[in-house]
Amino acid sequence: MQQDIDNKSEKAYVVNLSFPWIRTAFCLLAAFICCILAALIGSVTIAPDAAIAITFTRLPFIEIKNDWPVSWNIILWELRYPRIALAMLVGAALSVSGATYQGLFRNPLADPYLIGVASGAALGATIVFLSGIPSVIAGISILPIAAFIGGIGAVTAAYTLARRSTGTPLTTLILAGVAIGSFTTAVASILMLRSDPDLRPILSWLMGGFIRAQWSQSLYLLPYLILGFTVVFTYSRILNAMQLEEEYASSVGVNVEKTKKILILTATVITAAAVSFSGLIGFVGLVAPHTARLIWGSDFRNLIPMSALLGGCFLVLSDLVARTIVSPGELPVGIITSLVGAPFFIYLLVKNRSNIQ
Amino acid sequence: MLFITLVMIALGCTNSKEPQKPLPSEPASAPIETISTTKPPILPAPAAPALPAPTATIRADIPGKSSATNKRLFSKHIERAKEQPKLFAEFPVSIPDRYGKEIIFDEAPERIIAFDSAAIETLFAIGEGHRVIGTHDYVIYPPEASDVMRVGDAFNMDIEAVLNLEPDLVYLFYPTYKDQLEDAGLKVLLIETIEDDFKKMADHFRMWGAITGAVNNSESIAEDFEARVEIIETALAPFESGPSVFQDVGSFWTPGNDTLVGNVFEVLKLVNIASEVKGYAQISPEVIVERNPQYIISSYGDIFSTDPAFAEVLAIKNRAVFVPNEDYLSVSGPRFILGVEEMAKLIYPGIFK
Repeated sequence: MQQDIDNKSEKAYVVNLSFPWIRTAFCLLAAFICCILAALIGSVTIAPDAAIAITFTRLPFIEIKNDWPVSWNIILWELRYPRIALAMLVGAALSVSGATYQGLFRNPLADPYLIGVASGAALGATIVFLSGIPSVIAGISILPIAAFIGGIGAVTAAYTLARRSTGTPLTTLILAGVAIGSFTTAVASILMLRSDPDLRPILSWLMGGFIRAQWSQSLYLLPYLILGFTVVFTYSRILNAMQLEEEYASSVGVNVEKTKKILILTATVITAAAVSFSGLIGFVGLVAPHTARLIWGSDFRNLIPMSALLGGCFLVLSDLVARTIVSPGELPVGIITSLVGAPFFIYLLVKNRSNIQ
Repeated sequence: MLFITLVMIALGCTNSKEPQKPLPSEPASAPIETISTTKPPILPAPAAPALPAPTATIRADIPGKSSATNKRLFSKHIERAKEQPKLFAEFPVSIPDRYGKEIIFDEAPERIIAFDSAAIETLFAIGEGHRVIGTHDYVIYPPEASDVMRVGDAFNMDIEAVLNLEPDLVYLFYPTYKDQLEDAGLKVLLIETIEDDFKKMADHFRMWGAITGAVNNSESIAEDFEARVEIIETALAPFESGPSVFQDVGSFWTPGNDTLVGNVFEVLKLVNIASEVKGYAQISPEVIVERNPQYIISSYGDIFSTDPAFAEVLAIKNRAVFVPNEDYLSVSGPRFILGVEEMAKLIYPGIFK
């Protein structure tokens, strides 16, 4: 795996001689270890040797005599691994879109939640939830589509509100996003209060979590993630140019408004897909890109892939805590990410005080 | 890392290799056989007490006897209720509230706002529904109560609407608005909630009889309730411990032993696999698979039978996932016993017919 990523990276960063290989290798190792931990620890204790055997027995050409209870196999392959996979993908999705929004709006506090996208997506998904429309029609999961419509609606509203003939002032966009986010959240709350006396399932979905994670969800999510990641990664050079001044970006031949639209659309697709499978999980899109920036600097060609990696790991670890800390009970993973993320947010706020004012 | 994730997803989805030698499929045995003779293959042996192996005599005895006993007990009870000498309402009535204070009723209140589903069901059941002038949005039973004015949803009371109705009693099920209403000069009743013993509901029925003066009606409902609980307890007395059970009330939220439903499990001799849960909590699906319940009660639709993660759980293999017809057990009123009986019939079809 190390080999694989190294090869890929070498092509992408052939001019970037200062790429911090040691730090990258260290992070990959840490990521690998956190996945192993997440696989080995759970509310049901599974002997590590059995867990390894159960894992490798699925690979072709490997036959291991099995002497473990059948429930362990199911717990690992149908409950724990799909959870880790989904947490990894959702974490990567939220971080990539977070990094994109931050670059796009040149605001270190931009996060899918701050600009109303996630709340809009949640409203779209809530409507599908409450209206009794089957969530899968003709083999296509319509939750992400509804979430995308909600998310794009919210971000379009914010963008339209903030747009001036001279461009889109960034602070106005953030303010509009916060307002739209509060509004969609309020609408979703009204819908919930007016529909069904039993709100536990939808509330726990909104709070975010992977308790019902299944392989199929990862499969549904993957195309959105790959597509979005590719688009954002392709634009990472332009994102770099946009960090200086929009005028500069224009002067080097970047169609700023068009780029903004494409990137907003892409980041919204990724966010909507993630939200529809995991509910609202805050702060991942903030913590991971900033940590990545601390380690690899602010070149978006490094930042985008490394945010994905760190975001995935952050969410896998948060979910590990969420499902073991009150064992046999569970906590919504959003609580854990907020516990870590909110102090981080405050740290960024203090650190960037002069920039923001 | 993404690469590994992809490989894992691919492996998880394809499921190319048969993971395990499949267990010989369990015959869809009648649950009564499970409880009485065979020891079900619980994997790996849980800490739960071993199932009883009652002697053949008991088993042969129970099914035949119990249905007859059932009828006999019921009819005898109904006769007894009819023949009963009339009780007389006595005022003043003193009801201790949650904080030990005595609430005195010099006469039956004529205008009651009952902010509680159970109280509404009880009042209508004892024939005093005409006294009810207000309640909350989530009250859905009885149909006659649909005309009663709503003064808020269950968690937000419209105090102005309450005052406007000029009630002479406001019955609450949680304390949030108690002081505010009392300061406005209203008589408020907030009694101890039943948390650990559903049999105490009979006392609630009697309490409403005493308050409204409908003592005979409330007494007969309370006695009917107690008799029906007794039938179940008597029939299950020979057994030490029954099958294991898991109840899902949505997204793996489940009641612990210290809840009313946990208490129902206890009376039905069921072993709650989420016994250590306090109140209601979300439980890890890993634990459900590991503890391998013999019965699953899925209150809001069966999410288990189609989920590959639960394919090897006994309840799924034996097709013992039940979706209750109506959510009787969510309201601690006169219909609660129907939920208990429904569960008893589902799990012990050989004993309760």
